[in-house]
Amino acid sequence: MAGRRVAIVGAGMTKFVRRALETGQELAWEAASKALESCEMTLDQIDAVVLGSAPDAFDGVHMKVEYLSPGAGAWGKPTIRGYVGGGTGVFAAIQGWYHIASGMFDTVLVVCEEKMSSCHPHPQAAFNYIFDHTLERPLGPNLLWIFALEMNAYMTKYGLTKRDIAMVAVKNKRNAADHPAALLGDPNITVEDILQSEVLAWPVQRLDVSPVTDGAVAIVMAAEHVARRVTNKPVWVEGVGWSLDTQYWTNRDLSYPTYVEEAARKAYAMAGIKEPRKEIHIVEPYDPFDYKELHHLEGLLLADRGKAAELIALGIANRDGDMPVTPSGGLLGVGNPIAAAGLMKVAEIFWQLRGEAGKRQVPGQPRRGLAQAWGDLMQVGTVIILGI
Amino acid sequence: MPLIERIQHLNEARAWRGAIRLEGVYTAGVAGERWLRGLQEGKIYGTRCPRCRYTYVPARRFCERCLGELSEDAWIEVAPQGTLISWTRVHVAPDGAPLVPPRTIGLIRLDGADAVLVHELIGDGEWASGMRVEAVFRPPAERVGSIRDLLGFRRL
Amino acid sequence: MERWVYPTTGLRAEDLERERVCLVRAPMNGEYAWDAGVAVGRFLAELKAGRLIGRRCRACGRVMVPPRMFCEQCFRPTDEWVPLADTGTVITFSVCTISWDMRRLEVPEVPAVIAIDGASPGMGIMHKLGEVGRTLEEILDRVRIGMRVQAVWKPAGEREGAITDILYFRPLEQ
Repeated sequence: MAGRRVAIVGAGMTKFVRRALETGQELAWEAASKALESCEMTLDQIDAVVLGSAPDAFDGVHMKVEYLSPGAGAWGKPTIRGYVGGGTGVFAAIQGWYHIASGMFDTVLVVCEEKMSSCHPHPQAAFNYIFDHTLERPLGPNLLWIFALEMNAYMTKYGLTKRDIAMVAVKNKRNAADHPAALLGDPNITVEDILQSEVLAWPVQRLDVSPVTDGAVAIVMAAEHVARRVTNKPVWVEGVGWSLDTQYWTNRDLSYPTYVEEAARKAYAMAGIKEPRKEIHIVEPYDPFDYKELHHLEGLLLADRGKAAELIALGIANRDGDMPVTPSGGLLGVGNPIAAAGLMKVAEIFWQLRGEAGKRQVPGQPRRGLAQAWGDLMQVGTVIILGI
Repeated sequence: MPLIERIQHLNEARAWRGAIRLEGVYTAGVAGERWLRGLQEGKIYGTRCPRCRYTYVPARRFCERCLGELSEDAWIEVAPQGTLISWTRVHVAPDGAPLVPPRTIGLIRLDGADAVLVHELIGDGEWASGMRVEAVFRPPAERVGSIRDLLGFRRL
Repeated sequence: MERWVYPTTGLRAEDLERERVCLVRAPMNGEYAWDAGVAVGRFLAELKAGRLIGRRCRACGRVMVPPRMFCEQCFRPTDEWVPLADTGTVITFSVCTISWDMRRLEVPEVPAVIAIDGASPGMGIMHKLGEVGRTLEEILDRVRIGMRVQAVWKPAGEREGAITDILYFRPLEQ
């Protein structure tokens, strides 16, 4: 383990909603103040702030993190913005970790926010500007193209059906029914509902996709000597890893996320994990689309290539299964305020390992969990492993 | 000097032109909603943090200094009069075109507030830091719950 | 953990549409002229002439398209231009039934990644397929990953040095 030991000691979040009255600043404050309250800390005990948020275009605020900073407790403090697109939420926690592991700070408040409802006519429009301006944008693309193209490549390579993949959406939306912050929890949703939803960009249908969401999440991280004083249930950062693939996405093998594997291998090595399928008890892989959860389980080496769907079909990934996957309900169920969604996954592992996940609690006293996010132009993997 | 340098003589064959077309639709927020409804009624509110002894105008629902909540009893009405802290006269529009007539923009600390407010200064002649100014509202029927319900500030 | 979830104020669409809350609407109209750069500038000039070209890195041997003046794997300059065919293989495709602003399309679009003949295996570009049907069912019936396709060019006089000088790729007669 590199550097000093670091723990997560508190977490808070806003309810995830389709459109919030709150400004981005106010959302950040709601989450940050809840996180501080949860570990009975005050702002003057925080040494530094890490802020994460995805493209400025969603909130429609240039230099968004500077704008958010008052609500994140950044006034007069060393503050940094991490940005790796959709991978930001988990990366922000990694940044919090190295701020403390390095010895530079003892306590860090990590806040991630997204207010996608500001972006009209649709947040999709903001995503148009991730495509190459000269060679791709003139074709009139939309964001769904790249997901649909990747999903089709993945399905075709391994002979998976839409039904195999829809089971992910069903599991996650059902799990989310027990999450008090969820936007799209539904205890009764079925595979037929997913398969009968509107086709957007085949093979992607409406219910294969996570919803446009406003929300914020915050965690408090601390060095060991502070963590032991603040709580009797610190959740330790055992491993982190991140990696980026080429921006030339049309030159990649779209059926396998190599960059997620690279990130996972770094995190496993750091945590001393030799057999991840036995040593990781809970997984929160990034699930903006249902097939992405499967893709990422394979990249994380938690399933053989093309075989992740079997974990879902056999119930192994259920909350009471041998390897619960996305017990929170994930982006498909709780909602997808991009950067905040990634940090929500970190917070879920925190609550699960402390036994505080309420109706979502995974049985058997899990001791180790992994959260992963993914983003940029489908090219970044960010991984954090937490343990008690 | 224009704020935005205009690039001339682009080699058309090698540049690809495009536009970013998005519209931001912004809510005012929990505190902003209440503050703007106050303007609509001709009142300027602030919120005072009792711990930090600092009054925010426009009102906020949390204190950025201590991150504490500024709840119901933190809301106070501040005076429509205040002191000009600084000012500027703007002769160039955001697109670089001349702005005729120019606009005068001021930073105003209202009596009872610590934070300063940015708005238009109304009236000809010279301005100076330290001058006393007062708010000019639109007629009540024209107010909609916007920062523009205030026309600006004039000399007292 | 329920205690640590803030009960955020959700609005309905009509709260915004009917302006029940204070709103500010601000269009962002940024206009840009993006320099095509050295490699893509040449690529566009070749498109105007009805040709596709790639760039070879002699260190790793890859022939890359879209072309670049540096190899991001070897991290050195690429070495030479390589003429490519205007035929290729569909690596993946989608059938898109909505526009960028989420309106339904009368006729679906068929975006695809196409590996170009003459470039290294897996070197694809994004484009669209055409002449493959007008409904989701027709298109799914006709298009396959692995299908061979060929570019359909705009008439020479109408080309402008743009990726749209290729109208689309159509199935190659076997």
